[in-house]
Amino acid sequence: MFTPALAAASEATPTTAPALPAPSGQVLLQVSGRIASTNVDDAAHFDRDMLASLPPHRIETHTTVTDGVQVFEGFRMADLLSWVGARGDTVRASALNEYRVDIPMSDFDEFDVIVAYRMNEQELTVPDKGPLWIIYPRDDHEVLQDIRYDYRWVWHLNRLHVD
Amino acid sequence: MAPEPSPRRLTPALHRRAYLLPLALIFAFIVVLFFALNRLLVIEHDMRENVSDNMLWVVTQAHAESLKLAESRARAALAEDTHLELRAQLLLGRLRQLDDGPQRRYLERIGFGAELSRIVELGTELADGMHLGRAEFIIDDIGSQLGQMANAVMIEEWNAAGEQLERHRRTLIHTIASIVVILVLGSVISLRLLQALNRSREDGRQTHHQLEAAIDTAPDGFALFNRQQDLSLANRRFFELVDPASRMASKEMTMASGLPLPWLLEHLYALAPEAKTPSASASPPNQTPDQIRAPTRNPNNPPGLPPFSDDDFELRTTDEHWLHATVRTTRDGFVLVRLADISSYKHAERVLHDALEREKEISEFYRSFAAMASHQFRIPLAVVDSGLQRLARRKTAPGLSELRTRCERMRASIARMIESIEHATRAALADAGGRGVDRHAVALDHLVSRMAQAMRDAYVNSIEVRAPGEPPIEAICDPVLVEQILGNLFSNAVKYSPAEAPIVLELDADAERVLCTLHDHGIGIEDAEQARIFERFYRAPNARTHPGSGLGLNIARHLARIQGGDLTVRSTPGQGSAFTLSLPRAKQPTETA
Repeated sequence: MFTPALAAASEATPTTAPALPAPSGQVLLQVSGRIASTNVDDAAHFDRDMLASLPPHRIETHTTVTDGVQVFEGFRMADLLSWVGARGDTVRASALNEYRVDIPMSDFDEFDVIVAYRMNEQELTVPDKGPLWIIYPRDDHEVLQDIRYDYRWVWHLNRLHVD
Repeated sequence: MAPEPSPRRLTPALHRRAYLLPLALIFAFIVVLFFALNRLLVIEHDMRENVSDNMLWVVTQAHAESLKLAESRARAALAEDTHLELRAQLLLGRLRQLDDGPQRRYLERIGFGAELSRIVELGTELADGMHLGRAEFIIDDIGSQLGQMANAVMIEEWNAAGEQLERHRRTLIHTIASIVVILVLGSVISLRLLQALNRSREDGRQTHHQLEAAIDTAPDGFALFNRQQDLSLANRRFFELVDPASRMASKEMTMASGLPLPWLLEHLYALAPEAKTPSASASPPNQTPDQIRAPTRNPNNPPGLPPFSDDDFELRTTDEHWLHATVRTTRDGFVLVRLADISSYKHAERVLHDALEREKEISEFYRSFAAMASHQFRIPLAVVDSGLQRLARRKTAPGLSELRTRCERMRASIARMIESIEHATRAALADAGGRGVDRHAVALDHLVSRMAQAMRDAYVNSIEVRAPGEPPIEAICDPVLVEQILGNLFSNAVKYSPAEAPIVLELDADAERVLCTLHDHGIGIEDAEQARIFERFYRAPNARTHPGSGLGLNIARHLARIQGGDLTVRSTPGQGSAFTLSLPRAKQPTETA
């Protein structure tokens, strides 16, 4: 599943991972650890435009901290990790509020886990658990309706480390 | 014997009552089971509802965020912290989270609704822009409020946890009680089922015993063979009939030693008078095509075992009993062998058969008499008629001597007719005997002596009687018929012997038979003729010069045979003949005494 941007990149350098452009705006997310593509030192930094270039994905689901069905928009975690050429078993997700949790990579293969930047047509801001929030398709899979998955819904997400 | 077992029969009302209790038990069992399941489901559902369980964490995190903001503000005053705005926004994020649906309802429930609204407003103010002087106050306010909330949430959660534990405990006690009831009910139901099973098995056993007793007392022998063609059931009578020698052998013993069907059939077929083999029995003439096809159509005929077919046949046991054997295959592949004692029927059949044979002989005799009459009377009558015609046509009276010659010739013809009529009379008597032969023990000594005396009076020949003397020899016979036979033999002896030749009547007996032999010294009979002289109308060539009908010996032998005896001849041509009348000997109880 290639995005137009990815397709173009792979044509240019077919043998290596697609090169990452340097972020031009404010960096929202840093990915580090066992990744193939980097743009700042050993890490991959993403501004809002770069994240927006990933194929958008939508999830409608309940959450444990809100009432009713919420509509989330963002990109699939799997697409992001594939873009940076991540090779590992777990991803350590960190938040602005120093929250930190290890998520098995298999989650992103089994479920269409997304990193949301929009909720109910509104851009997520820091006071509203933004700017990025890991969302699981909770309503689509009964197995996800479990407190052991609830703590993986990291809000204020700003860092991923692949182990 | 046990008292007559009355068949177990329930009225409809009793039937209903017999089913009512078990049904009620099963119903109660199901109800309690569902109750227990419901209790368990309640616990399961209760354990899922943990939304507010992390409320304490959420509040303390918000509290911590307020403390971090306070720290940032203090550093900002020293121009050390550049994240003041972010910290304010993060605090606002926490406060908004508290203000969101489930969290807000929780806090409202424990009486913090108004406070929550106030601190969210304050947090928004902080995030919008920071007036350092007022900010310190606001942050302290929010922090102290959040601290109080954390206290209240903790107490609330402990209370809730206590209540939930108590609820679970109660529900579990319900469940445990239900399980105990389920156990008891289950045990009762199982016990009743076992009792019912036992009773029905007992009933079955009783029926089985009754059936067995009924079959055991049956006059016929029954044996049932299983699909492996081994004996599985048989009544005592069966063994008595199959093997009379082992009349006392117990059924159990025979069954333990095993009795394979092929062996039994071979044994029975060996006793059948018409040589039968299992394979030859595949199509006995008296079976319908349906029966013949039955064995091949039977899918239960086990492979590897010798094939057999349904059959019916008669057999004679070693102790002279006649049995009728019936072999039948049941629908489920078992083989039933039935043996019926038909000795009495067989005896009756034999008596009837003998009577019929005799009737046939008599009617045959009548037919031959008619033939004889037409054959024998025609020639003498023709002789007499032609002689009389010639006399009648004569123009002149015949001379006395000629007349005498002619008359003599005609008289000779008439004499032959008279002889024939005598034979016919004897035959009529014989037929009367055939219908009602009066056989009984007769002392032949006296009869023979009387006959000899009568013959001495009638003929010139010397007649000698040789008898063993006391005790008198007794034969089972009809004395009238015996006299007829002996009369015929005497007249033959006289007819074919010279006048001076002696005639000897010898009486003898062995264990079974009485032999009465008449010796003459007449012309004798050629070997080749001896077999034929008893044929009807047959006359030996050397006898043809003598008058005779060719019927006398035929009738005599017939009369001997209808008494269970016989008439035979031994002869040497030119020296004489010996005719022997044999008759069944009467039992001699006196001889052994």
